[in-house]
Amino acid sequence: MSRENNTNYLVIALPSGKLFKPSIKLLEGIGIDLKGGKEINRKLAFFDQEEEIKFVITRPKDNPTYIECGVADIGIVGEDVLLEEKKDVYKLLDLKFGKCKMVVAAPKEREQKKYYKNNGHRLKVATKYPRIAADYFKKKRIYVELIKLYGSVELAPQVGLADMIVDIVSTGRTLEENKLEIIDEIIPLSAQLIVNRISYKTKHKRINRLLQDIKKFISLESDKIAEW
Amino acid sequence: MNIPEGLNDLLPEEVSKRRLLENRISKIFTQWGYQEIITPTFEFYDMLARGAGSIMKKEMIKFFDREGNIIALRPEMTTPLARVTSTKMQQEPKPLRFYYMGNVFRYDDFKVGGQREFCQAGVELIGANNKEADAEVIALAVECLKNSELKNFFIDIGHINFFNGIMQSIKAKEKRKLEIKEAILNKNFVLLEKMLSFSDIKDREKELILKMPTLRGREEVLEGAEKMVNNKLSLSALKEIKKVYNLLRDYGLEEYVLIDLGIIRDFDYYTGIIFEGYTDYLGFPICGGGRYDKLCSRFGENLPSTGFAVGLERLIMALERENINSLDLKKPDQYLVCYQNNKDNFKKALKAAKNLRKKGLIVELEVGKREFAEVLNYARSKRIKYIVMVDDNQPNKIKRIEVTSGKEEIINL
Repeated sequence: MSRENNTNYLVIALPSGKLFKPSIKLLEGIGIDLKGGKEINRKLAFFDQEEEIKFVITRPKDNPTYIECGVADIGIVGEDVLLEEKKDVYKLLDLKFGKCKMVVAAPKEREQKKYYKNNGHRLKVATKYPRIAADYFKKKRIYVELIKLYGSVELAPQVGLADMIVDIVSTGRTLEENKLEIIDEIIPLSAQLIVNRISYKTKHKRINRLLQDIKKFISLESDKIAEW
Repeated sequence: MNIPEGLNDLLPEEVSKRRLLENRISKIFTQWGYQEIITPTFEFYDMLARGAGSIMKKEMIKFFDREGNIIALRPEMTTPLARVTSTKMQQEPKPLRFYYMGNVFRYDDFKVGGQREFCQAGVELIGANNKEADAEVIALAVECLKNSELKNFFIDIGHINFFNGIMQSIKAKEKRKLEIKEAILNKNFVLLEKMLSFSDIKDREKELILKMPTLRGREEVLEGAEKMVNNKLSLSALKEIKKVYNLLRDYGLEEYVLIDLGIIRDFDYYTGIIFEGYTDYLGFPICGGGRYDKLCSRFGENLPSTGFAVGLERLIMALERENINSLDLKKPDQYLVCYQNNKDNFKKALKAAKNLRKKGLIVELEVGKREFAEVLNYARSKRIKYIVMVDDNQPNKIKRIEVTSGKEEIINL
């Protein structure tokens, strides 16, 4: 898909995965009829001729890339992806759903003080977010060895791959199941609305209207949204 | 059999598009009185770093020379040109008008595509600090894009001091100000809003900062903004923008120019009017530039200057999205000269090729002694228009065969 077809359309990139359903709910909440998202989910690209909006579905981590290069104007993305990927896009709105936090966690039985003996010397940390983890430890002046993993990070301490992990926690159940406990909270996270930097200028009126609708909806329904 | 990440080979078709565009651009630069300068591809890091902010310093590709000096590939062209004019051309009458066209190098790892080598064409107008100089360079940016045959584009003009003035007038701790500035540079308005709500800043200023990226349009933007700020720096920035905008109107370019108070450019050397070019076909700027009055003094000369650069890869991308044929060169007809194998025919073939080339045609000489059927296939796949056959039959005559139709005619040698 190239940008040339998009000059009249507003292109919204929705993330697949756990932010997909709440994103659909949000858009339906402001009056865009997506029929529960079933139609879009099948097609990857979906047009709403009347509203002149086009939807595309992206892998959550790819979402900001679509926005940065301008093939989509607006995206919904987890803050973890934004912090890790550092894309040149406008971060315009905290959508208040998909709430979770980035934490440092370690096996329960170990004595906490021991972790940072010699400022972390020889300490191994497994994570899907090497950039966020590196920034955090650098700020704390703790010198750890980062191990980049692509999933099931909580397994790493159990099998001796790492001493601790940096990962996202929403309910804390996974940590509990793997006998891990939070030893520090790095940053709270939620879904964010991002916009291409040129689109924000050239399609400002339409984007702003959408933004105001979403803002209004969020403030009215804030209790419900937090549960999404 | 690989090349390092972020680099590209340009194949013939791509090169011909690139050269066509380079010719269109260098022609217009030359016609406006700008002369080309070529500087080395790599220089002492220390020199290049004088024009680089903290991000650019990290992005430079560096290595050591034999003496252990740190060398870097140039990440942009303005700093080398400031060095040349400040160290070698102090005596020349001002203003100086220079243009360049060359490759620059950065570790742009997090940008789309991650290209580490790309080509920039641009101009510098050195030793002039009046609004007419700002307007000339912006007008030339418009002409440059127009002459490259891009139809759909805008140049947005703003001023670095509009933002600086607001930041200075805010009553907050330095540390908080830096955080606010960083949030703006990172375009993180979620964080920015939070920070502003924590700090003791007037509501009007908060609103203004949050609105900045969308303060874009014609003159009414200036009128609106004048009411929103009351610090000297921002107000004089607005005045300067107005003057330059009016000059651009005299140039007859108002349809291409918009006032945009939300422009913030990455480079640390800008001191005045700044501008960026956008098209609907790209999600990132196509060109950019502005006034840099203090850069040359980092090389010992006080020369207020302004300039801009356009990214040729980006421009090509935009041109092709606008019109797929816009960089197709009308080439002269291509010929392939073949001959029947003997000494006399070879000489006759050479003469035929020479004569055709004199007429401005593109001529290949068959070197493979292939069968005619094979030659014909080759000619078809290479879009050669005519095959010329040289044989013993008629002196001073040659046979010309049109490849697509197979039509033959006898022509003079």
